[in-house]
Amino acid sequence: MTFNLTLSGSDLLLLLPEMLLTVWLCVVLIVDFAMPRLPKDRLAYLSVGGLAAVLVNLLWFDRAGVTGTLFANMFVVDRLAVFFKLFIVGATILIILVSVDYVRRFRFFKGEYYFLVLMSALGMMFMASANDLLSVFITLEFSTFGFYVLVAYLRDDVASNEAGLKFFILGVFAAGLLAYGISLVYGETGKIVFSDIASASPTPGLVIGYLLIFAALGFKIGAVPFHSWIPDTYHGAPTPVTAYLSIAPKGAAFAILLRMFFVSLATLKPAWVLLLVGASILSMTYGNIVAIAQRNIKRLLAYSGIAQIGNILIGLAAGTKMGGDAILFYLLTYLFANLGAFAIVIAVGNLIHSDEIEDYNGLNRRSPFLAFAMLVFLLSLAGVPPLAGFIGKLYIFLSAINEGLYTLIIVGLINIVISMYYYLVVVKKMYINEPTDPSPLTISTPMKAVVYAGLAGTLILGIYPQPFIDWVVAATLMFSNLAGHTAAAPTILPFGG
Amino acid sequence: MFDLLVILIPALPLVAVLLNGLLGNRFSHDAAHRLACGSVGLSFLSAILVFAQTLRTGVVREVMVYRWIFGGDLTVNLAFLIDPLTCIMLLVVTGVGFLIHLYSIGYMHGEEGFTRFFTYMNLFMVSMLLLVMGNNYLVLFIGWEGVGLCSYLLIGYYYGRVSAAKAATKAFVVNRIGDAGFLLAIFLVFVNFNTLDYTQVFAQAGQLSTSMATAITLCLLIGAVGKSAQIPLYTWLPDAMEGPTPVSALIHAATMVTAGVYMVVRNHVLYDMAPVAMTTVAWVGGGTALFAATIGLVQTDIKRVLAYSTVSQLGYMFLACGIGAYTAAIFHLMTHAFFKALLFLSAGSVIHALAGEQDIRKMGGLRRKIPWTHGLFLVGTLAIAGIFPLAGFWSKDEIMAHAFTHGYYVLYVMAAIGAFLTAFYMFRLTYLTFYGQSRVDHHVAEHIHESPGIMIGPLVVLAVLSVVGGFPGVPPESGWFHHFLHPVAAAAGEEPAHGAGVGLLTMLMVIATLIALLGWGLAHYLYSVRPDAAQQWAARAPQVYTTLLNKYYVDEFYDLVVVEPTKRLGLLWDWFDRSVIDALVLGVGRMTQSGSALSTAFEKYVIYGLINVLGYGNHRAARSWRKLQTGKVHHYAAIIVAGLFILVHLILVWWTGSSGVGVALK
Repeated sequence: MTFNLTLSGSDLLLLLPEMLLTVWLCVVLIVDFAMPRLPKDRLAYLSVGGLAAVLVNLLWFDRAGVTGTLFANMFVVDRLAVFFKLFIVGATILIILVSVDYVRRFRFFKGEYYFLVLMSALGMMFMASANDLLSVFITLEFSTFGFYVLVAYLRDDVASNEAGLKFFILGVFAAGLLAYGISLVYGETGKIVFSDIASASPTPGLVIGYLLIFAALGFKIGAVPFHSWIPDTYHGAPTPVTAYLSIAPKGAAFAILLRMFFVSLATLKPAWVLLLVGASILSMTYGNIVAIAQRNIKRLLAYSGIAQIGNILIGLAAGTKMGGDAILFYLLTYLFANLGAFAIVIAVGNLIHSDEIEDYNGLNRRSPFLAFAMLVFLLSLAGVPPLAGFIGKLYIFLSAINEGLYTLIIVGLINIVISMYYYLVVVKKMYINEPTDPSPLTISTPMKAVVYAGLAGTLILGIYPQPFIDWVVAATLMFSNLAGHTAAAPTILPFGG
Repeated sequence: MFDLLVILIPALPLVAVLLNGLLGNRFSHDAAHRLACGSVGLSFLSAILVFAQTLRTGVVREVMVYRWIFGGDLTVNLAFLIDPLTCIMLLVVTGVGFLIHLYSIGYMHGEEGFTRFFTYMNLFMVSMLLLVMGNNYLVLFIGWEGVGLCSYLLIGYYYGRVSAAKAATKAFVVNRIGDAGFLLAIFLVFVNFNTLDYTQVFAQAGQLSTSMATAITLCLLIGAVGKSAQIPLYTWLPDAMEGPTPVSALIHAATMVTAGVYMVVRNHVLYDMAPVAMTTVAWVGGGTALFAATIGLVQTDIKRVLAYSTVSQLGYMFLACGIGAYTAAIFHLMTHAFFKALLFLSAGSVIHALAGEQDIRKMGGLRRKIPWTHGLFLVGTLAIAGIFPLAGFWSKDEIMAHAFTHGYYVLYVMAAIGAFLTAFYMFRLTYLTFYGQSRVDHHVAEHIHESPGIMIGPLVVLAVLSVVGGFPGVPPESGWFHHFLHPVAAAAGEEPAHGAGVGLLTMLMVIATLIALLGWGLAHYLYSVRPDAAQQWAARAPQVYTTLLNKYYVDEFYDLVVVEPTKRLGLLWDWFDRSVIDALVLGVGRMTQSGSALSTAFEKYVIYGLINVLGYGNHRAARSWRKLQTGKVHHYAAIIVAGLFILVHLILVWWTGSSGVGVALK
């Protein structure tokens, strides 16, 4: 077979954001080594500066509609990829800002922390552009690699080491699955580019192959039953890393999932709808019910994250353009609410050195701002209007109901009720319980900036979501041809699923 | 101008929320409550103007604020619908709300978090107004959830009270069960009509199949049952009495809990198409009316008695909806808002006078000490008991008469028994609180005082409304109220009961009055004439008494069947995650550990050895390079990867890219 690797100046333009970031992460690394006396906080702002440049670059791509493919269709730049890259870069900026106080407490390797975060971001940006199975494997592993290190970053902390080890072992296992899946698909079809495989007819090998790939991606997003690494890893990892892990890689993985299911497998939809419905129901139910039993806020958010992924999978199960829109929008709402909640956890953890929910008692009296912000974020996660999470859930449920997935909707709604309970437990502790130590808490400026960003995002996406909806609708135009069955009024009682 | 007025109604309290919420700690208490009450007062004024305009022109208006969501097949605006139904709700919500805000100034005086209290109250007003004004299901739903949130925050208002915290959580979670049903209904509406606007939905309602209409309306009913505390989701409301009393009056009696009734009436076009759902509504309402009244008989907390009475009265409203008497439902909603707010606030005045005491076994003989409160409470009692010609008489009688004349005899009997019980337990409450021997603790008794004017004033207004509030609905089924609401209820095919003669209606009124008087008489006998008789009766049937006192053990049942199993499952799965998965991973981990010991040794002797040899060769370079050699494997890896990427990029950019011509690799 023939590979044509052609590159021109205009082709390279497509790689500009990645190249910028690559250069920048090297700059950060070199500055770290070359200027040992430079306060490491500066490296954080240096990183944010570079990311801001990448962000501007991506915004320009988005506005100007720069699109194209590179390396024989391996690497694609389209509206979808740009959306996810913006998502990842935005999340990374916020993560670096919430990390500043936390990293200051490290005894070693403060500077390398930022380098590793940037490197993971780079890997995920490539994931967003991955357009064939080979690049899926490479980019997925590349992005995970940084995380293996980051999770185990607290080298004196047994929990962190254990988390890193577990994440690594299970991650390698998932990588094995992915490689095996890819080899099967390639063996069956002789093709690796998503859009080429689309035409292939299903064979057992192909189906198994895709299942294996789905398992590996399911591992990445933490969908039940591939979620087992999530609670321990989230618990043990440095909290900013947990926050990062809970958002950015999931977004990037959804870029791949969308391309895989909506492009390669579009014609086989009847075969995979049940798979996704099952994964969604399991994730929602398992995540929500186990979350009730949690006493540690990081574990609580870990399980809540599993449940949220279950919600997002609803959109994937819908398998229509509207489902795609809903996924993108939901990810945005999740970005702000979840990251905001983690920002509070980091801030509180920095101040009181505890992540136990018990220690959130009376937070409202110690810092009304933190408590209010946490309230908004948790309610958004629970889907209370008019906050962002509500629109996200509404959108995703509507996309599914258009496809007649009533069972899924009903389970989803029941799960919203369950989730309310454990989110409220935290709210109750913050607002109604008495604090054991009533001394007021104050937080640093970068942290405040992130909390404000989270609040702004959560409120704006809820109250005036229109521009963002326009954006996600434009980003998923490539899925317009997906046929869902139209919303013709069902005439019989539709409680079959 | 009209549009601006309409928008101002919810906007004014919203501004107050923002100001008090963001800057409240810089305001004095006076400024905070002036802002809060003033905004609600102005919004009441706007509501009156809007009402007057609607009354004059009779035109239904939709006021657009902005396009909220548009994507896929869905367009939803933040827009308001102003029709007679909305007008009535607006007047009730802002009017009663304003009076309760005024009362709160006195009641909450000196409480910690005074500004916070008013911020939540105003936020509640905003949500409630969105709820009744929205022109589509989604705006209704925002308000619906918003009032739930404010209810949550206000129930849990008192710091550190465990019971309050539990009650607040319970209220929110139970409400969310209802909301799940409501959301499902919204989804079904969307699937069938591709829009969520009332006017469009109702216009196309005819094309709906009966089964689909039934599905939608039953799902809506689940939502209504949660919010309006009907069987089987009523358990949260009595617990919600943990909140401050003005909150109980505003949210848990006059406004929020009636949202379910409003929603059913608003959707009556759909309900009319689904006889099964209508019957369900009627029976849920009738059952609740009776059931809650029986529990109210034996409760000893003044606010809990009122809470069960609220549940019971809401049952009457649902009953009215279920038998198609929508106007009567809204009529009862309005009069109930007057007299129940009056009762709650007077009860608050009693509690205020007794320094927080709520147990009626520790009251008695308060008539002379707090005469104003006594008089006002008595008016409320007469009104709710349905004594002619107070407000409650007209509205309750209309519901019962409708049931009787339309052939719902069983429901009529249930409602009649409920009315008897209502009169009984309300007069029981009055007698135990204000009459007989004082059972007040001595140290409390010394400080009993009448409440300040700012609290009594609003009560007087409410008392007047409780007396005259029924007259707009006179004569029954063709009063001014019915004519005004006619455009809304007309489509329902609701017609005045032509078949029923004046004689029959009069007879029903007489019967209703007799029932109420009978309840009063029994209470008078048991709690005034022979004060020990009540205890004898209770002793004669201990099982019945205990069952009632424990509210039929429904809470315990729900805990046993739903709450505990869910928690246990959570714990079980958590254990599974922690132990089984851990064991698996750690097993693999141990294996890896032994492997890693080997590789560490390799690293130590072989790789370091190499580096040292190199370093010896070039001392100076080694010194600077050592910085890269931090001794951690992950640094090596990071550097290798970074290096690799730089190389790849360099090659791509300079070697192949600069030529501008593609290089073909075969």
